[in-house]
Amino acid sequence: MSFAVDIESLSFTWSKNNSPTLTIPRWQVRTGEQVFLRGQSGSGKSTLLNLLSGVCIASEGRLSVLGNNLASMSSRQRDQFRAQYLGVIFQQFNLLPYMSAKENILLGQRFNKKAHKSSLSKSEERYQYLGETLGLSQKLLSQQASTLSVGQQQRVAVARALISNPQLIIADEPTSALDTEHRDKFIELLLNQCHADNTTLVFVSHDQSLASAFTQQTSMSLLNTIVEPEPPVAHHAN
Amino acid sequence: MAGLTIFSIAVSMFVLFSVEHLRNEVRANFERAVSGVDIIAGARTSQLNLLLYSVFHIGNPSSNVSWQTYQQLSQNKAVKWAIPISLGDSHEGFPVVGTTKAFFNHFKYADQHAIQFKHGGTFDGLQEMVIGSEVAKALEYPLGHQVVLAHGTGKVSFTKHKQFPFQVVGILTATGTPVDQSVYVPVTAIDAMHTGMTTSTLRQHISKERTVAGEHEHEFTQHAQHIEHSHQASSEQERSIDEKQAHPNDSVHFEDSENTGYANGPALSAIFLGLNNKISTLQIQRAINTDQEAPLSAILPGVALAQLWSIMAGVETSLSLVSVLILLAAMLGMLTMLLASMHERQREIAVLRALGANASVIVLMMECEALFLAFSGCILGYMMTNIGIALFADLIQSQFGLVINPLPYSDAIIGYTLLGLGLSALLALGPALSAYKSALNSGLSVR
Repeated sequence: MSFAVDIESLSFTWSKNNSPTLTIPRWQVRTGEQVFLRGQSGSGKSTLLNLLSGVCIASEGRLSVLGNNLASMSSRQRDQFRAQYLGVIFQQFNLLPYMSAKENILLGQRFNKKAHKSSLSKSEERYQYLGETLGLSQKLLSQQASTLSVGQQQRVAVARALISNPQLIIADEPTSALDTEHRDKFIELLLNQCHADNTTLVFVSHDQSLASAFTQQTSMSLLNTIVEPEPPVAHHAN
Repeated sequence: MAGLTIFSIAVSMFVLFSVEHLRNEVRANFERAVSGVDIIAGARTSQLNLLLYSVFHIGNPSSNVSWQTYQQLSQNKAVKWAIPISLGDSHEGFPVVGTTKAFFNHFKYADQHAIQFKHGGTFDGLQEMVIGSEVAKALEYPLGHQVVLAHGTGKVSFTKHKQFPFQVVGILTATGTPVDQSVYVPVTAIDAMHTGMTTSTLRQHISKERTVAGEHEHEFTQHAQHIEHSHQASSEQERSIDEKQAHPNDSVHFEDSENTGYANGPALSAIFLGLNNKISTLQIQRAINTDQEAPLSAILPGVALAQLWSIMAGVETSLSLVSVLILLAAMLGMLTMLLASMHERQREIAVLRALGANASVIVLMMECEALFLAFSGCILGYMMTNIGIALFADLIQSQFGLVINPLPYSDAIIGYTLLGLGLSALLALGPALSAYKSALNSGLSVR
């Protein structure tokens, strides 16, 4: 059985701190699994996502993402790894407002050397497929990102995360600013795409009501030994 | 905010370009004002003062030169031609220059360009005048227009020579020199005007004076004669053309009064000399400067201009320095803008990092933005300078006599543009490195 994420005795300390922010003795995520990761503010969620994406490097221990030891890679290799294999969805989606929806979706391709080397038609094919699947019309794709509605921004953000056909998607509280209707639609859309492409998903959120839709639910207080355990009610999902 | 930054850089570049261009144009204007004149002689004064009042009509002579001195100089064998210049009157604020026809024949501007007439021709009668192109443009005088001159060089004068009116007989083509802003009348008319003569009294006076003969050989002539041995024939021939042109005219002819030397002749402010042989220029200059009988200063226009620029060099450097400091201030404004926008950029940087952009891309992005702002500012500044020139060139020419041409894309302008771009790239390194550091430290967690 292959693991998309495999952590053992991981410790991370910010350069300005003396004590570690994150210590995870053991955590594994199987390939194709959709993980719901819950945690309070300051529990180390963002630090963990930075480690998974290779933006930060663990101070101690082992971290393997998609079978790659990120600590052994150079900074440039990690950037390339991120461009090639990872998709990131932000809270509020963080589309670049001065670009069109299409430019936002294809932005990551500029940094993906593999995508550059592959034929243009392949990228275009993937772009067309995502556009159709996510209901993004040509008219909408040509619009400035700043003019899109929240629902449209959601879909563009998902398309941007999926354009390079990533093997791991990291979603950092993408539904925190959405109302219930938009939130449910977004979750459905994202999980459907992950199922269809067998993509591993690490989804971070405060919203416990979403947990049931995911194949694995975990709490940062269980992963990170530094964080104090949450009250018993909050552990219910596990 | 970016627009404001571009505008502030543009204003700085406008100042920088304008100062540089004005500096070059002023120099070009001064240098083109006189050409082909080997020596300027005038009453004892500094060479700068003599140059400024005689050619540029700035300032006043300390004393006058006698008509006899002019005659002796013009008859010197080394001298090919001599132009008397008499200043001190004005018309509607434009300086009046008393001279002879030799001025129109021999005076050159820019690169040996001769003065040409747009309308009419040179004065033949004593009460005829020729006006420069700017005078004609400003006062809209047609040929034949009657004009009364005013005493003194100010714009406002309470003393007008109403008894001695002039008629416009010639309008000069534009030269881009002080000639354009001057009024030219026969030199003898200046004297006649000031001694209160009318046309009829002057005619009687000339008739009487013609009976007086004899000229006194001046010591200077003896001193200078041995200097020049060549070109004698040609110089005499040219002088005869200048001085012996007779014209049928029922009014008083100005050569009549000039050649007969009525009274003591008109008092002069300066004398322009052209020599037969350029090699003898320094010897003639020394001879004039050391002449005990007629204490004069003789200057070489080129040398005097060089002295002027050496004096101006400090001012020019200061102006350039101030301009560069203004540019630096604008660049610091850009730096502040970039730093202030860093907080807003955290989100953008996080997105780019998440998509696989490495930190050097972030630095490059910041540098490109700074260069774009600076380059846009330079282009806008260049356009503003040319628009300013188009709007104010005529006003500057009429007020200061300076011809300001459109700003060319010269090496200096390219140099200042590169300086602006270099400064912006250098100063943007701070925010760029800050963005780099932020990209490394804040990761993907920006809210």
